[in-house]
Amino acid sequence: MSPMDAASAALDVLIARCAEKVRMVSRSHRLDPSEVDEVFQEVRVRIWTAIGPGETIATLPSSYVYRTATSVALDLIRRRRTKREAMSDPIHLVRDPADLETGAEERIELQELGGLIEEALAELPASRRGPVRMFLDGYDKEEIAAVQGWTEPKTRNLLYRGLGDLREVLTRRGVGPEGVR
Amino acid sequence: MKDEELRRAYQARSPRPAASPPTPEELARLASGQGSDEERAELLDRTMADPASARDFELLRAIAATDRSEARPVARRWRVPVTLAASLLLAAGVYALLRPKGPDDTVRGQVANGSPAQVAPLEAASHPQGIITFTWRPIPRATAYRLELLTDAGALASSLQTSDTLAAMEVLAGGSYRWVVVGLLPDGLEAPSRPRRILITPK
Repeated sequence: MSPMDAASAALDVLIARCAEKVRMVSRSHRLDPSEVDEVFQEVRVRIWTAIGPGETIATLPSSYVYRTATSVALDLIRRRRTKREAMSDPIHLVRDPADLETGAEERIELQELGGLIEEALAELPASRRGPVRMFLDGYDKEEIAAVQGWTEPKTRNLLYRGLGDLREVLTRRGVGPEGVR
Repeated sequence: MKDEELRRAYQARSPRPAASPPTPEELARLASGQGSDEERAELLDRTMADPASARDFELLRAIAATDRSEARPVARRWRVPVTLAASLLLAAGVYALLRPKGPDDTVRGQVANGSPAQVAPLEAASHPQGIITFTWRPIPRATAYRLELLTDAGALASSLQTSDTLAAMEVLAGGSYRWVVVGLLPDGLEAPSRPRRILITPK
């Protein structure tokens, strides 16, 4: 194996490892695995261009790979936004195909209820809205704690209070345990 | 209404275009934990209110969260019973002292200088599922080592961190794997070994 092949193999192993870990972290959320692949393919090109083949690649810290990945992801997001703005039917208005599996009637009821939740959220203190939204979007307490820089007990407490406030607002608006009254 | 019902309804809502979606730079700041409590809370609300921004944020958050988890010392997720671990260490010590001084049994590949050289199991060794002991040679300046077991597709099946040059890992699923030892050096540098194949056979 030539030194260039060895360096290339070392870089491939490092990038595959980092990409897999990112995929594992976001497995339960909306991130498309192909998006992670797209980012890390570009990361490989950038590192190869910046460093080139050599011993350095074998001892490259993973933190360098993640920093590069963040920069690549930001470029991807910027490109996506430019494309989104140019579209007449914004991508965020297109429903997830998984929604089609639910019956049409139930889907409409759920959407209406979701709309009421969205309105009710506006009445919550700003400091509690974000974490509650994250929770409703399927994130667990540990992930919310990590994003907010809170301890687990603080997260649990604020989330509990935030969800309590939300239920209170919904009840006032006629949405009880059985749904819309 | 139960948490799960709230979640289902919220996720089914018809998304509305956000009035002031966060910029990509704001999303990056949020993902890396910058800003005061109030700033983060306000930004998180704007981000999560807009499904497109939430998706963008998820990409940055996953990268930042992985970076953070690798930067801090990893607690062992998996432990062998103390007596078993002690027995394995003792056995390895006795073996190191008594083994014949023949040719080096390390299968050396094209690894970079300073990467851990794997000792056992040998390349493409077959092993019944259960506890497997992995050993490697120390490298200068390494403060710890991370043993990673990868599937053939490159997915991380299991990993553990140790300051030793020997680790026991339980592998329950049969199949073909690769294992890598990453030397963790000061200043966050890492020195990974070349992957070595191992075949796990069902008992």
